[in-house]
Amino acid sequence: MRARFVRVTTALLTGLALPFAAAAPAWARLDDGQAPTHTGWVFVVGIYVGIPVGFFLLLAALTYGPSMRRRPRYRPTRDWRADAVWFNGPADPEQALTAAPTAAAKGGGASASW
Amino acid sequence: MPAGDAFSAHDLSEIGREVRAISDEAKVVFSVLVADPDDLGDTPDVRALAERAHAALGDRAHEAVLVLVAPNARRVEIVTGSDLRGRLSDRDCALAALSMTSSFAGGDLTGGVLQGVRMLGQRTGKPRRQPSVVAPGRTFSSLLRP
Repeated sequence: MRARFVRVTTALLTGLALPFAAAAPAWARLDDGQAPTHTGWVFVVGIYVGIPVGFFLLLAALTYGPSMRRRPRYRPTRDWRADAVWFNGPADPEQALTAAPTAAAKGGGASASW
Repeated sequence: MPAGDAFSAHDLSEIGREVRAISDEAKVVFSVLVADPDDLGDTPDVRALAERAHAALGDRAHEAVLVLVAPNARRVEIVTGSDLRGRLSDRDCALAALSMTSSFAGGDLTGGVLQGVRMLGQRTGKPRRQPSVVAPGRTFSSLLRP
């Protein structure tokens, strides 16, 4: 969990810092004799920070989203603690199991392991 | 791994629905228990737990097939009822168990359970004709003859 936090934070900070680094020349004073067109800082930030960060967040959501939504799944090599589930079983499993007759009505069957 | 349910709500309803539908169609009670022996009481052995769970089906046990999936013991046990002797062979049970284990080994509990029960349902033969209530041991046509 900690390693994941570090990963996500690093990715976020990198994503935030890169657009500023890339946008640095845009703040340089023009001295080619032409009058600069006026652009407000909100507009500049919107284009050079907002769009890249938005794009980064979209990619991050698409990458991490599915695995964050998924519940912990069964893995054969790991210990699995889960409540017992009985499909089409008796109405009161606990009571039925303790009261199960010893003279079983079994005919046959099979077993396998993995 | 945190404690909780082995299946999502969607999986639970899907397996429940499928197991009941296949039971109705095959005229057999299929029952699937997903549990490990240490979850339920003092039964130490997986096979013993399966047989006990099969017996716990009560009146239905004679024509019931119990499938026990033990995720931690990594075992599948199938117990068939005594009335199913001619309808579902041990060989078919073994095939179904094998197909389930291959899904479980890949971490797919839901898919394995569904596939196994479907396979068992397909391999279960039709119920034998009930003996005549009117005259046990005699067929209908023999009653017509004087």
